[in-house]
Amino acid sequence: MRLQAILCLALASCIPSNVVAVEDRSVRVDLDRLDWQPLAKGDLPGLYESVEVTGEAAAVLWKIFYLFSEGGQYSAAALVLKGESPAFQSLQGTWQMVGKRLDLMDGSDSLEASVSGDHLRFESPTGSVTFRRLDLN
Amino acid sequence: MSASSKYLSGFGFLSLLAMTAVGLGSLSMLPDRIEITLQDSSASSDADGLELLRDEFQQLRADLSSLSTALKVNMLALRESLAERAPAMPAPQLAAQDDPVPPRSGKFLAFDLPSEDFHFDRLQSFRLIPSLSRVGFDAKSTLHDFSGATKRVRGDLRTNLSRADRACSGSIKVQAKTLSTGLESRDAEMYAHLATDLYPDIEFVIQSCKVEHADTSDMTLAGEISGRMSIHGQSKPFEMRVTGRVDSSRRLQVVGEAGLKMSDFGIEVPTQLGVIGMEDEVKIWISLRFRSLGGKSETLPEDKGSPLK
Repeated sequence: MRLQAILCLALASCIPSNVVAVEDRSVRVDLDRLDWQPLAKGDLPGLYESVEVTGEAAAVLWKIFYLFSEGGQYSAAALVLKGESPAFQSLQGTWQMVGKRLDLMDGSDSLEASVSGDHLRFESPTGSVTFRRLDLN
Repeated sequence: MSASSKYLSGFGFLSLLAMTAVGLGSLSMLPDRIEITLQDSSASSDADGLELLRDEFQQLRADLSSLSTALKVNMLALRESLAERAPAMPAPQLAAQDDPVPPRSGKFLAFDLPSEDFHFDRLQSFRLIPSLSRVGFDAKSTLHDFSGATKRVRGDLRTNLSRADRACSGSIKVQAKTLSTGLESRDAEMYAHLATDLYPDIEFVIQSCKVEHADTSDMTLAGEISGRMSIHGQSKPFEMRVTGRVDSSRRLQVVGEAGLKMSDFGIEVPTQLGVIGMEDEVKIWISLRFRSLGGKSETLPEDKGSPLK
């Protein structure tokens, strides 16, 4: 019995303390740590889903999907909260690069666009959206 | 293309040619009608010559103006004619030819969004976002301390953040068997002590909130939430100090912690051969993010002693 207790103590002492620090309790969204580069025209075509929206629009803009084609067209859908019921809206249009900015030709502000691996980010003075590229299964 | 349009186009083209011919004719006449005389002292003759030149110049200017007007009319007719011949061309592209820089709305993306931003001072419902939330505990034992945590949490909240002490309700539910301390054998023992097969969920039902600080400008709050904690099939009153803030993505982030005695919930405190033992009290902590589901504006009378800044 004493031997078992000693062995148990010895074994337990080999196990390090693993208390989660207070600052590590939150689930981190480390998108800012990605290495963002300006978007080149060839980077854009593909299907994307939003993983983070910031700015005032984030209160009502829950989820966004964009499909950009190589031919310069796009199709988009967003889950928007209106009143107390969210509903999808869709958009179609054309896109073009104007210098280093992306113009969706929809009357909204042109966007500063950047990429990091499979992530895409649109920024404007009023907010930002970070997307993750999806596979078309 | 209709006959009238063809006629209009042809007429416009002929008018254009005629006006061009008039202009060129006027220009060719100009040298014949200028006479230059050299005299030693004849100021009056110089004045006549200048007057003649001025008349000719004004005539040319009038001709050019007529030409310009005729050109504009004909170009408009030509454009209308072309538009009729190419009905498939989408209207926005035609508009873009008129105005290559489309008007900007100042909006972010072009979805039809309600103009409302997040309302801190409004009764609203929130839903917990599991992928961005985590709950756990810190425990002390004879030899080393450890934490257990899980993201398998769900919940909801309904309150007015600036007046949460008036109305506040909700619940947070954790799947007990997903709590992990990073050591499988220890987890297995923990699940056995919690009797997770019999009581799969740990649930905190929020019944009231006490707000000590709420700031609508920077959208932060601090206080205490109270309710009933159910663990191991036993339910006890429970309170936790929390702070909250609305982040840049307009999500409500709530963090807090509180002590809890396992023995209060009928949980046997684990020991190893009577030598290695855990302390009875563990620290429960939460780090949750909620998404507002919206709500209705709530008109509240001014109350005395409100923590609202």
